[in-house]
Parts: sequence; structure tokens; C-alpha cells
Amino acid sequence: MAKIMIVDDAAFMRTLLKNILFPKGYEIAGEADNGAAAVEKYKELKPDLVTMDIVMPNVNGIEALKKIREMDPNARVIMCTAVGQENMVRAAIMSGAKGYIVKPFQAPKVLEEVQKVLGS
Amino acid sequence: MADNETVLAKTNVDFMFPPKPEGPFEERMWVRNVLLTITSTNFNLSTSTSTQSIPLKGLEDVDMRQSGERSVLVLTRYEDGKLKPYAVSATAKTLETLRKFLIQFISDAFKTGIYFISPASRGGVVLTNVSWDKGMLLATQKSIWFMSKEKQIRVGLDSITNIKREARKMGGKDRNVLAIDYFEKSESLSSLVLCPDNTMDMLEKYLTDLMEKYNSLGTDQKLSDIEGQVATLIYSGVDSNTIQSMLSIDNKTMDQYYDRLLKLGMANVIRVRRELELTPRGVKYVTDMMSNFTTEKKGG
Repeated sequence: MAKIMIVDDAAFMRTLLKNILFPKGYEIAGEADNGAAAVEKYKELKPDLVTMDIVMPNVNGIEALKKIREMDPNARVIMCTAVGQENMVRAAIMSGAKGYIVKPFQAPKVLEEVQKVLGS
Repeated sequence: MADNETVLAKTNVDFMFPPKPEGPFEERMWVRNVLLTITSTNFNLSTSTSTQSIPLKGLEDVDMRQSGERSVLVLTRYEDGKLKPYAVSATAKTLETLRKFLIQFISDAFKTGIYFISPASRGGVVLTNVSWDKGMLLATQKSIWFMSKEKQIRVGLDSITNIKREARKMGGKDRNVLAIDYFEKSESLSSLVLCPDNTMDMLEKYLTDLMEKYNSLGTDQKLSDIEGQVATLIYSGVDSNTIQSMLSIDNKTMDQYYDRLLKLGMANVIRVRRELELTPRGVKYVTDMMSNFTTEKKGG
């Protein structure tokens, strides 16, 4: 089953995503609580997919996405952010994000998006 | 019905006066096999002994619902200062035809030309294979409608969780769009409206005022952090046992949190006591909470 890395500075949101993905058989390769750690962990873990929060301290999700895509142009990254920040969709998509979910999210839709991006 | 009125449509239906537009639609209350005829001014319901004529003028809403095995079309009229529901039941196909036909008679409290995407996101996932439709937005005291040549999409005001303006880059220009978030059939959806800024000002105010009638919360009705987390987890579809395990809370504490969500009208029980589903009010709370949290992060 696919290996997924979860990046979010809120432990609660990371736990929530783990609880959505793990019961469906996805392996949680690892997690990171900021963009810089995400880039380092991506090198080490080589996950099949990353869920990436956008608004994070220090290196934000879009910067981390760009660095990951520089290392691995085929990286599959789904961006996450809250309602009201949808204007970041374009920046994320232009930077190579494969999908986008808005918080708060519903489990079936997250799983749908993960499957779609993994199948792309 | 006057003899000289031209009948535009007719069909056999079951009929009732439901206590509320959202039901319940109890089996014993249906009057079976009533002849429904529609003229240019009325819809008429005839049994073997009587005919009741109801003017189409004042029609505020036509909403399809499911009640067990039954498909139900609820017609709501504005009568004597109140909204009065009428329910008819027939096959889903018949009701869909009726619904499409009756939409043209809905009183247009607010009607304006717009471009729209509906839905633009589903369950928090932004849909990418969608495009703008050119059409109308029609708002009544019960619902708003996105209407184009091909689409007639209804959004009940009681299901709207948020209305807000967002900046979007479109065709190389910065444009404002109005995002309308709503919660329907356990699914969170969002639609986008594009129109001139002055129309958007009016539309935003009109819809916000209408929505507040349905979803207003007092200032003393704020959830604690952990109650907010419970609401977020319910919204995401996490079951009660997992919520308890994630947040390390016992049965009694969990019951207290659930009771508070129920008391504030933010959730409904969907399975005997232990599983809840958020109401539009609860969804609005969680959405606002997430949005405020992200704003605070950006600010910090």
C-alpha cells in the first residue's frame, strides 16, 4: 500500500489525517510539523504522497512543495489549508501540487482525493 | 378551478399538509391518489369529493426530499405572513418534472445575472474539472437557486454555513468572487459566484442577512477548545470510539461534550445516542474555527 507523509504544524490535524488514512491501509511513512522538516524527511522517506499544510511557521507549505519538486519532479503533493485561503490554490497548483483539500475536511473526500492523486 | 383555465400539466400524486417543510411525512397523513393540475395561476388538488386551488403566486420554494421509500416534493408558499408547506409524493421522475416546471413560478425576491460554479468544492476537496456557467441567481426567503440553461441547483438557506468574498486571479486580472458554503446530505459543498462588484455587495448583504435568521449563535455559545476538536472530528466522519481514543477522554466526558453540541443545535443524533452528525450550525462553527486558526497562524 502507498506510503504517505503528513505535514502540518498542528498535532491535532496530523492525528486526524492519520486516523483517516491508516484504517484504509495506507502506511504513514512519517510526519513533519514544518516545511523545512518536511523537505528533509521527504529525502529520507521517499513517500508516495505528501499531504502538506500551507500556513506553517518558517518554511511554509508552498515553499516546501517547490523544494520537494526540485528534488523529485514526480512528487505527489496534496495541499491542505483552511477555508478563506483558497486564493493559494493557484500558487500551489502552479508550483506543482497534484491536489488540494480545504480544512475542515470530510474523510471520504480526503480518501477520494488521495486515491485520485496516487492513480495519476 | 375555473372551467376556462388551460391546464398546463396534470398528474396523480399523494398529498399532505406537513407540519414543517422538512417533515416528518407520516404515512397516515397522505391523501392518496389526488389529481394535481397546474394552470397558469394555480395548482389544484382534486379528490372525488373536493378540489382545492392554491395560487402559484407567492410560491417561495420547491424542494425534493426523500422520506423512507417515498420521493417527496415540498412546495412552500408565503401565506398570511408565514411560510406554508405543501407536500406531494409520486415517482422521483414525475416529481423532478414537476419541480423543473414549478421553478418558473417561484417569487423572485432577488434575481441577478451571474456566472457560477456549483459545486466548486466537495467535502473540502476543490474540484478541478469544473467551469463557469452563465446564468441567474435567484434568492427567496427559503433558498437560493443557481440557474442556467442546463442547471437548476437549489441551496436551502438553512443549509448555508458561510458566505464570504475571496480574491481570485482570473484571466490575468484580480477579481472578487463570492463563495457560498453549504452542508447537504452529510456533505460539505461550496459554490462560487462571479458578478460585478456592486451587485456582489448587495448579494452578499442580502444573503448574509437571510442566513443569520437560520444560523445565529449567541456570544455565550462558544465551544471550548476540546469541544471544538470534538466537533471537527465529528465533521470529518471519525466515530465516537476513535474520538475518545484520539483525545484521551472517558465515556462520561464524551457524553458531556455531545450533550453540549446537541443543546446548541450544532449536531443531531444519527445512531442511538453514540454517533452524531453536525448540523449546518455546527459545520459553520467548525469552518469559522479553522479559518480563524489559520488567520492567527499567519498573523503570528
